[in-house]
Amino acid sequence: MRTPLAGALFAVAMAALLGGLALRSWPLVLLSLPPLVFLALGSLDAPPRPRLVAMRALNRDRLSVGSEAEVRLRLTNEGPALGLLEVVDPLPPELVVTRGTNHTILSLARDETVELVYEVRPTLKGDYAIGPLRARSLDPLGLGAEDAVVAETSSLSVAPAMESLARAKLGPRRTRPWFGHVPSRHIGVGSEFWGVREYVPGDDMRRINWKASARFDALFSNEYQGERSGDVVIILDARRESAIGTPTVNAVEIGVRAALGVAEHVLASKNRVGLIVQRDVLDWVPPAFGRKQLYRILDHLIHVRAGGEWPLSFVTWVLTRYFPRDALVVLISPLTDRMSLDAVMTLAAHGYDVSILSPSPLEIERRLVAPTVEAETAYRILLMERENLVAQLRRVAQVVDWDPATPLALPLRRMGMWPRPA
Amino acid sequence: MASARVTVLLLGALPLAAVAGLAAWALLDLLAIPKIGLVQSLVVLLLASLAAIAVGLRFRLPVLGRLGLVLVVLTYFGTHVFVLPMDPAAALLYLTLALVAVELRILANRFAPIFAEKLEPEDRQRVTEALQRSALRIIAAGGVAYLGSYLAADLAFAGTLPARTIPTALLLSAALVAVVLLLALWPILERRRAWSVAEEYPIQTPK
Repeated sequence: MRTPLAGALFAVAMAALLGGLALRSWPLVLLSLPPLVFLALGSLDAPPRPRLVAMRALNRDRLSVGSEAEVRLRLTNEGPALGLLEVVDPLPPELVVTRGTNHTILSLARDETVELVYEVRPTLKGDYAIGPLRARSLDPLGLGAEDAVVAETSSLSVAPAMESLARAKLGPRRTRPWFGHVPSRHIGVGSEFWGVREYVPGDDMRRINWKASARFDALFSNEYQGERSGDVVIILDARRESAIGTPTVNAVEIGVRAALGVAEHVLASKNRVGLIVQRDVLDWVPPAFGRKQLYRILDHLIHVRAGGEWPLSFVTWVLTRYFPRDALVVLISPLTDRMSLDAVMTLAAHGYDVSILSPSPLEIERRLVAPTVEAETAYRILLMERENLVAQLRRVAQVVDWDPATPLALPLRRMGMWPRPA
Repeated sequence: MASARVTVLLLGALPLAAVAGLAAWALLDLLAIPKIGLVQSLVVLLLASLAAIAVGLRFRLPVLGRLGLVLVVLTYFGTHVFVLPMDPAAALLYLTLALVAVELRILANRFAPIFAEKLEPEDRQRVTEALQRSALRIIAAGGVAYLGSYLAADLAFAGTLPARTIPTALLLSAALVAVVLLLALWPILERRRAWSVAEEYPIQTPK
């Protein structure tokens, strides 16, 4: 493949030649020679087409945002010697090279092998493909080039960073028959004292209340508050209008982190967790227990990208048909429109316990603009509007207005039990 | 070995220095014109060319940079074709320098982004070697372009230049014929190479 420079050199030579002949100027005719010599040298040493075999190895194919993966690219030249070879291992823009390089120029003798090593750090969650490798054999004079694509691709799955919710008291208020960690208003297996009753054969010896037995001269057993588990449904608002901020720091990405943290925390307390994501489509994960469910939720959250224009009230439709009625609904939304108020009121009217976790879009935007008087005034006006909306929502739900610059556990801890016991 | 920062600076500065040299040379020749009005208009043209190069660099518009270089070269040759007498040796050197300036710009565009990255020592060694080879090739091509043309001029006008022997003349004739032949056959050679690569050496991917 010739480059435009070859054509330009030829044009210069022809112009000098024809101009010289027209003007009868022999020095001008002579000037056609240097470009021709460059062209001749270029054609004598034309770059061959690269014939490469590539093997790419990653030290890990699953990682979280902010951690690093090492990529080792082994290149073998199975064709003619390549004097000047430009190699690019194409990366998605979300992967940043932190060490080494994915783009180099080198020479490769026949059957020679080289290894390129570089490290990448993802800035955003998602499934990414590295490759296919692109190689270009170059002419040092820039007169020609031969391209090749080596179809070697690798995939990298990047999970969102998880918000730590250590010591936050977050759990369903209504319980179901399965054992768990949530105190229920039923007698059962647990650690909280409930009352004393007469001993019946079969009672555990450890449950005998010896003090009461000695006093009444008959055996008495302690009864405990049963600890059971409940259901939590996380609703993540990932509509386009909720993606306020930069591509890497926006309310949807922060919401994803929070959703993962909430899911992990609630599953660790032996509750069932389900997920509904409202984006281009409504997708959901039915409630289930355990570590496997956390991975299922994680897989869904990895693919969340902001999109879709529908109102939040569409979630109600899915929730009432596919999810248990006595679940705690944790809505993660920046609450950018007043329609969300209607949606939350509808959910409360259906009998759901609703808790709202709202990453504040005002705080996200405030950090992106220069601190001017106008920006401050606008911030105050918008803050009043938001506080008004939150106050109305607090009539039917518990609301955490969260500044994403602080760890989520802090506002949750400050609230005490969340949601409040009835 | 120069540090990566120095290399990047050198790669950026060399093409600029070459263009500045060409412009200064053209300006010096312009000052030899007796008509002040013509000198003024040509100096304006030269300054406009330099401004185009500067704007092209500042706003990353390579088209303007190329246009500026073409205008600088055209100013020089226009002056020597229409106003001043043309010294063949100087004109050849000027054109060769202009070609080398273009090649240096290509070299800088290729290598500077790579040196700007954080390279491991092994990678840097590889890239530096490739850079040295490319630079050497450009210098060699520039030398051959100038000397070959100079000797051809000597052949054409035996007596005007010192090197004029019959073996040199024969060699240069043969070289000129070879150059023309290569240029004529280039498209055919290129097609054949493309065919052979596609048929015999398909790109392999690991199983």
